[in-house]
Amino acid sequence: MADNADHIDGDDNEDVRAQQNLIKIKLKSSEGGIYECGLTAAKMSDLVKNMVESLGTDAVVTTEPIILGNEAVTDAALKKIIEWVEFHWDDPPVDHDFEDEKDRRNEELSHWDKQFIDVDDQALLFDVIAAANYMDIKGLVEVGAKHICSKIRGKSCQEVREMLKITNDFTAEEEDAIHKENAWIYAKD
Amino acid sequence: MHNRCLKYKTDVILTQEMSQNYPKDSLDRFGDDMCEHILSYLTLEDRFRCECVSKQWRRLIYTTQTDFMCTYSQTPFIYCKLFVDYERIIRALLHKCVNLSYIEIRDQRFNERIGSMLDIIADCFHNPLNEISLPLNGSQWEPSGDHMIQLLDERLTEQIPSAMRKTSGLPLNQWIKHQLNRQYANVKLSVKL
Repeated sequence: MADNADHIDGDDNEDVRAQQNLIKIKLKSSEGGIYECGLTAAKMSDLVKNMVESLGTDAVVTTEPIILGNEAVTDAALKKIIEWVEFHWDDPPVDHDFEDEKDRRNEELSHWDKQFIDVDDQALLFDVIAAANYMDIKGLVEVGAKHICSKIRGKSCQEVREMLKITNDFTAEEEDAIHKENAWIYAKD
Repeated sequence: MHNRCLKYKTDVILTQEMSQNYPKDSLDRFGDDMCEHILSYLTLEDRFRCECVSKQWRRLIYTTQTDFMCTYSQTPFIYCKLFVDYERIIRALLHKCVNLSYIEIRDQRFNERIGSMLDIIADCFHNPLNEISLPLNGSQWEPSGDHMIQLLDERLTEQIPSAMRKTSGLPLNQWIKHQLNRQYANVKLSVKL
């Protein structure tokens, strides 16, 4: 028992991480679909990591599916999320409190991430972001957020509303007033 | 019996709330925390441009802007506009970005405008702002440096609690002078408040 628990916690060693990713666990979407995922990859989700660690042993972890009850975790979203963590599980760890946080924020997405997140179905895109947020996968939430912001770049308010299907809840007068305040940003010369 | 009635009413309210869900492909589905996080990756230019998308955006779009580094590569449009209309831009920046803590305008081409820029910054000063980095060359040093100290000292004595006004035992104006002198060799003015 104790050996097993140590085994699961020993994340520092790359070999251990690789070996652990050969262990497959089951994740269950809110729609009931069950999907397999490598243990190290799945633990990129802090939610899953905490659940697995509270269970303690490999035996339980590999037989019982972990239920992800949030409605954003649809079958399609969960498949995308597993694809992402299975690609990224051996990335070097990121310290979100560290000084180079600012540099990382400004960094462009990798080619793979761009291709991964550029899905035509916007409901799926938002499900992936909401599900990643629920599952506490910071890296993937960041990929989604950067992708949305890159699509907003240079667009007008109306274009942004149409693209992201946002309801304009300003009155014409209110909108006009904000437009006047920011008139300098719209000026072309 | 009475209890049961109450419970029934609660259930009805919950069901109604559930059915008011936003469409899944609409960004409106996200609450403030998530929306704010997504918008935190916008450039400053896009924030100004998109403030009037919705009330939620207006509320959240500037809160995560904590620094302003005016360089051509970071904000090309604002960089160019700053030559034409710096007063409006600096006022808008300080007025809207309530969590702005760092301003950096180090391009030597702004040298002539530094004095007036400082006036505006001091005029719009707000508490989170704790570092200003500006260029200065030797000939402008005396007037601008003294001007800076005077401006900041006047503003800060009003706005910063006395406990924060002292650093390493020096009164604020002496401390600023000390900071300015340390930076003098690099012909760069950087003041940490």
